[in-house]
Amino acid sequence: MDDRHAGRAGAAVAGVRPVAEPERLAAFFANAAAAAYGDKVKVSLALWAGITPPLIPSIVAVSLGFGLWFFRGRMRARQNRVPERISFNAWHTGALRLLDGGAYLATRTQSGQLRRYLATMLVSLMVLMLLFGRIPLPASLPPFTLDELTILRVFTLALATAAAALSIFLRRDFNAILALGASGLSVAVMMVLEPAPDVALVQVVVDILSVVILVLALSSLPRAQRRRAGELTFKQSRWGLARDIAIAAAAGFAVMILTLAALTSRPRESIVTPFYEANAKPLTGAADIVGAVVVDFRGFDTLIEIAVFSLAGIGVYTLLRYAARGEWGQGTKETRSQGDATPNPHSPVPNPHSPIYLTNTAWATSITT
Amino acid sequence: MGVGGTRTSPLVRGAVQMMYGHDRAGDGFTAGVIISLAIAFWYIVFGYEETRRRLPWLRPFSLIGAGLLLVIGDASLAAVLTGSFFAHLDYGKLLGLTLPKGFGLTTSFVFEVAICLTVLGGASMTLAALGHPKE
Repeated sequence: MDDRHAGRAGAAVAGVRPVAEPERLAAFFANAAAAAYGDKVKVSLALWAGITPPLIPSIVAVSLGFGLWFFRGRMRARQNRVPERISFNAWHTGALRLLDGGAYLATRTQSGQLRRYLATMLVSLMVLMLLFGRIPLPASLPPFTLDELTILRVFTLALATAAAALSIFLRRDFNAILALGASGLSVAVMMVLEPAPDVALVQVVVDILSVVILVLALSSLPRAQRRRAGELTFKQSRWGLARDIAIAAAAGFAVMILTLAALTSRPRESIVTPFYEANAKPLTGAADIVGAVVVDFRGFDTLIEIAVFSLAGIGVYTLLRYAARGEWGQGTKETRSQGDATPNPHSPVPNPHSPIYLTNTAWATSITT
Repeated sequence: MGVGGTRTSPLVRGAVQMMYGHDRAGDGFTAGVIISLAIAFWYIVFGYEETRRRLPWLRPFSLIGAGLLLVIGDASLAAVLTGSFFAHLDYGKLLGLTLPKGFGLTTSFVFEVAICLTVLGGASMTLAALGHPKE
């Protein structure tokens, strides 16, 4: 036996050798399970635990698989006698054709216009609320006292609403973006008055970043397309304008009802707030409970949020760089330089005839019209 | 890095938010966005190519990867030392370090740094895509 075979035999023996110390591994799994379960979990690891219910189906499955392999010649011969049109291959091909057909039908419903998608979503929301809402509205509203804080809140609310309305009616895109930014900053002031300083700080920085991103995006749009977008808003028929105003007003009313119901139906006694108030400083050393919740108590949520944020950034980068260069579905640089425009099936860029590509380009077109 | 003389203002502001965000408003997310805003202003003032030349460390993919790896490594180290993933640990006390008052070198601080790196990478990637000169 040469060295290679000796090495392989040694590895095989090591693989079936019983683990020397499974206790550490069991303790690790027990800790992880306890964190999810909320109580102690007993975990025991052993290569052989006797004939158990989970083992019997495994034995049956492995035996069936071994039997199929052993008699594979006869199975193949029997399979070849089945007519082609009712064979498993035919079912598989038919299922894929059905899927492709459904995807094609789905793309036929995509008009490519963002305003139509938005109208569909808003109207669907309102219909669903009407049919299945059963929203609990309060019997009476809390008493309204006119003090300095209330006056400030009403003023900032009016400011935010007026700035948002201004962003619709201003003709020049740059001014509209600034009005939108002002609306966001007014919302930040409202949060300061709550008081919610953490949320207000995040609102301020994100609002400024949004303004910068919108200005950069605006500068990359052709002037003719921006003029067309303005005409769509201001030069439509009376019927179209009335329809859009009705949908917007109804959607705003629906959101108002939802928000009112959510704010007035919260339980008076919170279950988690006393725990965070009592344990934020002792367990995490943080005086700011919001910070303790974000990075300690709900650390997993924050981890997933930053992963999602990163994916969003990568998605925006990919769409803007590759779509702007027109490289979707044109194959690799090598095939293009050789004059071959056939899409490379192994290329990471999508097939231009696939429904996913058509939907993406419809979206990219719709935001510029 | 700043415009008009205060070269380190956004980085200092971001560092303060990360170090003391546990006791007042501010955290790694706002730190990352503030530094991203400074980078956006550099794109506007100096242009895309000059900004990339002056900030060689600005590699969005690397920043995102470093942030995610940092948080997973930090949580895994806490799992090894305490048995619980994402457990709170005070590295400063463990190592006997003398640190500024009000600041603790904890798993939370490392998580804030990781969040800052990830947000900085994501936001700068978007800004780079939008600010890239069109062909």
